[in-house]
Amino acid sequence: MPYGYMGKILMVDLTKGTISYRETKEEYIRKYLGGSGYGAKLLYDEFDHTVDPFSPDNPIIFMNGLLTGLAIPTAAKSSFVTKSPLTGIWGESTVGGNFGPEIKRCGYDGIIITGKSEKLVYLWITDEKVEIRSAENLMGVDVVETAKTIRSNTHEKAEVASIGIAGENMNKIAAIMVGEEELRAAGRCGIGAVMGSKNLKAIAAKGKLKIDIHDRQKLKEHIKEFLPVMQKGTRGLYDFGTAGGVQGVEVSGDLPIKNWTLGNWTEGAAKTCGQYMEEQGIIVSHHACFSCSIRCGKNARVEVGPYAGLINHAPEYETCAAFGANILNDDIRYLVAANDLCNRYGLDTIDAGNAVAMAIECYENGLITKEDTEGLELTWGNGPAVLELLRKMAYREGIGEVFADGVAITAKRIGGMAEEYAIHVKGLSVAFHDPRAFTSMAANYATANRGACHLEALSYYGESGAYPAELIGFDKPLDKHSDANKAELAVRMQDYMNIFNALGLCKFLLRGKISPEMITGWIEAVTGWEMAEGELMLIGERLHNLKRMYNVRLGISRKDDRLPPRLTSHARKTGGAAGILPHMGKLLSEYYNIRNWNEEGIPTKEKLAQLGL
Amino acid sequence: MIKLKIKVHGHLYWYAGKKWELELDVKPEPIEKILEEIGIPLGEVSFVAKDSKKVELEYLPMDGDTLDVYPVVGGG
Repeated sequence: MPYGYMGKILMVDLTKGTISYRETKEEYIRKYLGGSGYGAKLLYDEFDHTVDPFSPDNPIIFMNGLLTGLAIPTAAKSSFVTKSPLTGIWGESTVGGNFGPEIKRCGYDGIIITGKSEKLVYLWITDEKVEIRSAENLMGVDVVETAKTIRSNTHEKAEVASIGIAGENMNKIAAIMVGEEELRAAGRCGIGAVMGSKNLKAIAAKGKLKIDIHDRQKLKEHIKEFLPVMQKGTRGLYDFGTAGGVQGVEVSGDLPIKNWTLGNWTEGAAKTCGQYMEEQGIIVSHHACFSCSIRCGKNARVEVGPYAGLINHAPEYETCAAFGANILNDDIRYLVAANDLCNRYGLDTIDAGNAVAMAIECYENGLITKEDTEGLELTWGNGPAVLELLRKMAYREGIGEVFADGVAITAKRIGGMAEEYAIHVKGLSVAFHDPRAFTSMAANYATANRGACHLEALSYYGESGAYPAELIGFDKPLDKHSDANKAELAVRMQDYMNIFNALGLCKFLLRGKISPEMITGWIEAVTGWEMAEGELMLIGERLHNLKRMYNVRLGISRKDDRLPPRLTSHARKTGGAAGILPHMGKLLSEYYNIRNWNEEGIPTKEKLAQLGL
Repeated sequence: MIKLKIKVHGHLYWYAGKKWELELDVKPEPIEKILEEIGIPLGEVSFVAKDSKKVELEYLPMDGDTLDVYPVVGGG
């Protein structure tokens, strides 16, 4: 009897319409833990990396973390893994909510989906049976209504992961959304487009199985010790959600403004943050993911746009930056409405937001005209125009078609100066934390396996003091405005963050000053294993290298580990990080050296052998 | 009692009664205690500075001090 995991993975072939099962290997759980770690092992070993991401042979691998679904703070997360259609390389997207725990209660550690259905379908999973059901009545239906309809046809408390019109249209920035109004997003890498390519509208689940634990009492003791520290460190998230961080980010020069060109926007930040939404009565309720007392989720009332009067998940920090500062929109009503549209259409707000900012800059500089936009005036801060552009993007209408697949592809479509306005790494838009403010993030963005992802390191936590990095063995001095030791911080944090995705834990545990030793204690109590000192961080390093090797097979090397020109050669004139530019050549050489990769960024044979790869 | 001026930055404004500057008459206690007493959660504080130089949260302020309090960089 396995402890912590269920021992079984569901396999669905949508071409044949068949359901089968395979065993979850203990050897893999010990070496890769679960989540995107286990998913990486499967994708690397068992699937052809050369296939087109929209080929029926490209799988969607959904994997729960080893700890997902347990009574452990934030153990709500699970991962979708695939070859990304947005970047053409390693793709993973993690999500919270209650979906992963529900799949575990159905008896599965994960689901491997291959093939392509002839017609639009959804999966209905319980602990007794699995069905492929018709979803033709849900074609073109938004994710909120999809979840409602599926719940009414299955179980009122079913957990639903679905795609909206963007996923159906295979927009390469389409997300998989989890929940109904209290939504969570597997937003990045175009994972929703892969689901759309398979004609899979949704996965719904309701189970009642229990997860066995080796030593429940010991686990309780560990959690009791940790909870007060976590609650103290996450007060801001509890009060105002991630959007409560907008002003703090702005002060430090970390907030992207006007498509990453300006250094401060103090008054605007004060009107596009979680605190302002709370004060204005826009926030109507709060919610939490499974087993999480941080409760950072908020629901907002939509006041303008096609869904005015309805309630939807409130904008997160990234979305506030996307549809606030980065497009110079200080009208919170349009920010909330843009967020609502992205959620309903199933669009990643980071990629969609960067695309909108790029569209405005293209319009302002004459690369696209009013004729191209069919009369839409794409000017900075024009909320109604942004809502219409998002609709056109989701439906691939007119100018929306040009911007529907992420900024890198758009830059190729438009040509010329458009590349200057496309802020991405390897095709993935840069998340809204500026690497000119915290230069460890420059090393991270350049080397993160899925492209410019902030969550692969979250090293600005380490640089700013939000997380004491000495807890992961990093005790070197950090000067905010220098490159010294930043590559090493990025490496250590990347290794650590890989563990969170593999275990199914939320990275906000960092605000509770979580250490690898604490997490090791949780794993040992759950599984009964004895883990060696340093083993957990070694697993994190293994996972980062495994994902890198997936990319290396696709030709990724130093030539691709670079930031967009705007972030390396355009210093900002004002703000908390005025004049700062990261020195990428130096950062990369240090980074490769610490990782024991060669100068081209390829892991050495010695390193791979040391990691058991 | 000592006189103390505290300037808050970023979102700490909302915890400081929607004020950017506070002028206080307080007991000479470590700055972390003073911040907690005026409602600023320590989990939201990145660092405190006096004359643009970082001071520890255990710093015992002196009469007439002006301290800047900076928020953690959060977001998500």
